[in-house]
Amino acid sequence: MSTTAATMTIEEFLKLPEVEGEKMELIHGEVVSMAYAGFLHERVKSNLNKILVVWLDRHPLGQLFLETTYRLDGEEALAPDLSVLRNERLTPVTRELPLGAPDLAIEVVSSETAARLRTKIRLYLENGSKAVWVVYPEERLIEVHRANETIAVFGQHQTLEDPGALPGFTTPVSAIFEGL
Amino acid sequence: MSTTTATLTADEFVRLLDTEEQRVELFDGEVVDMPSGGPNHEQAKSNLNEILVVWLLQHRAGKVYNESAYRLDDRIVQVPDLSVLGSERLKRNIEDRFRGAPDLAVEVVASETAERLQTKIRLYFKHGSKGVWSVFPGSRIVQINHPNGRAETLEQDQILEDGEALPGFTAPVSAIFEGL
Repeated sequence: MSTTAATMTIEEFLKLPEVEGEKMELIHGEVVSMAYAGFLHERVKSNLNKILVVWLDRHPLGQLFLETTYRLDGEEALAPDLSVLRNERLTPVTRELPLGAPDLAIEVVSSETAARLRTKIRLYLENGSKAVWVVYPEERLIEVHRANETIAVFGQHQTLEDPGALPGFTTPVSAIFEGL
Repeated sequence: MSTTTATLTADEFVRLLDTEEQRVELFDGEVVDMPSGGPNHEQAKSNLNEILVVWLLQHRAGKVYNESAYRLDDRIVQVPDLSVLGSERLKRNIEDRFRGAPDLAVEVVASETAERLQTKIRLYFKHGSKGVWSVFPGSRIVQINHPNGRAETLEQDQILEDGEALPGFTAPVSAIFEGL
């Protein structure tokens, strides 16, 4: 986790030149590098991508996005691994990055610290996410966080569901960790 | 987290602890450094220590331990920042008291990765803890983890309680973060 000392606004952040091989987020006005992701992480992300794309195709209540940057407020910009925006938020003329947090944010854990992850979960929920799924590839478990609610933990032999963010969706947790 | 390559048994490791100046744990036979805590970490730990000591004295319900090493099994030794052993556990002879996980383990989060913290929580429960509290000084949040896989997030304006690990105990979350 590297941070630069100077803080910046979201407008300044979005104008930063692209750096090869590096993805950035803005947390409390500080530019931070995103955690390095290993192959385990990529594999889980790919499994989840497949599951969600197929499900959303059959149940068209929103669209799946990949590493899309969301402007949460003046000094936060986060890019969840996967995210879902419900149709209500997808107006055809939207050209700008969506304001606020996605309806569902999914973070597949890699090398980030527990403290950083906790900050991100909180920011998503404070800025309108209905749920945040935190996926732990090593531990093979998934936490579902919702504002002001108990965190639900789903293990390998359970079925993941999230009626708040994706009504009707279910998947065996094992499918998310398939091939690991 | 740096690791050495040679593996040790829990017994060998506990003997090593007597000579080792660094803060270390044993994970799957490998000696791993414990994350170091900054001033916020130390302040939150000291606050919670006071709260627990006072409550346990008043209720004669057990004792608080600081950075004590628990042998979870032959290859795993974890050192929670704070831990509580209930009155029943304290009846065991001294040799056996630190075998298995404490009734309550408290991890004040410092620089550890999210995945490592999740692993520690799982191992505490696997080896008998009734509660694991993760304290996040940065976000001013306490996460109460339960043996059944549920967890609650408590913010500054809420009251901390954990009926399974410390029946009857309550404290304002803000008291844990006082002075930060």
